[in-house]
Amino acid sequence: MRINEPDCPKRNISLTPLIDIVFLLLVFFMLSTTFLKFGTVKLDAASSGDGVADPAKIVLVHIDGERRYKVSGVRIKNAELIEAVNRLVDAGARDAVIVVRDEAAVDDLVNAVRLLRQSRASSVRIVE
Amino acid sequence: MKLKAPVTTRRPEPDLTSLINIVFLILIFFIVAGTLRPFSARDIQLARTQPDSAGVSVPANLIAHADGRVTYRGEIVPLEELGTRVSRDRNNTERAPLTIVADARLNAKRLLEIMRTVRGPGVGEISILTEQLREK
Repeated sequence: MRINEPDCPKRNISLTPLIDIVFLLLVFFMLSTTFLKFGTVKLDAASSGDGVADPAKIVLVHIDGERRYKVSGVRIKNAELIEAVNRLVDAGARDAVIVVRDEAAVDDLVNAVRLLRQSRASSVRIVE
Repeated sequence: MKLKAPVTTRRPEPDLTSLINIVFLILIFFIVAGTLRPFSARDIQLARTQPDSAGVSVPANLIAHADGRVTYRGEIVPLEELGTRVSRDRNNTERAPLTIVADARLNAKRLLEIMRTVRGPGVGEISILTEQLREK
């Protein structure tokens, strides 16, 4: 028996529409992806009148901007913030209160809150 | 007179296969290695923290720019309207957490002001999105 070969010629599939879509997806992902690692820092500023801390047991931390801090009025370096607060906690203090000055930026505030949470102070509050 | 028939030489289509190989490779790299940005603004510089803070990133639609402007859901909203806009969008019965994308250079007092405005029924814990430094 003789079988006829099918006589449809092999045609090249045009890749142009495919590459259009692939380029579109590529551009979308290039613009919308990020390689940064994100985190969050909880920032709950105690509004006034919300459970006043015992004034005898607070540690005052002033934020002056550019990561310069004062703990109980004494200027300290960024790296020593936790130690300085811990020393005062050992001496009987309990709550840390952050006082935000006019020059302070979000970066300073977030950094201070994060460092104070690592210290042994039992709560961190923010006042203006 | 004898006219010459115009010579039509069909240009062969360039072979796109190798190009598409590379483009697919780059596409798959971006899909696998990257994550979608949680916010769309491109001029935001986030506060940098050491790699220890809680690493959840949720899509955030409240953006506080360095100059104090506030963008909510893609449009600039004056501070007076912000509180009503946010509470209108939230179901008042549940206190859902809110993540603010705040520029690191923004004045901290301005951020506190924005937080005071936003706080209300339906808004739970407020946190600030940060960029975690890579561990060396």
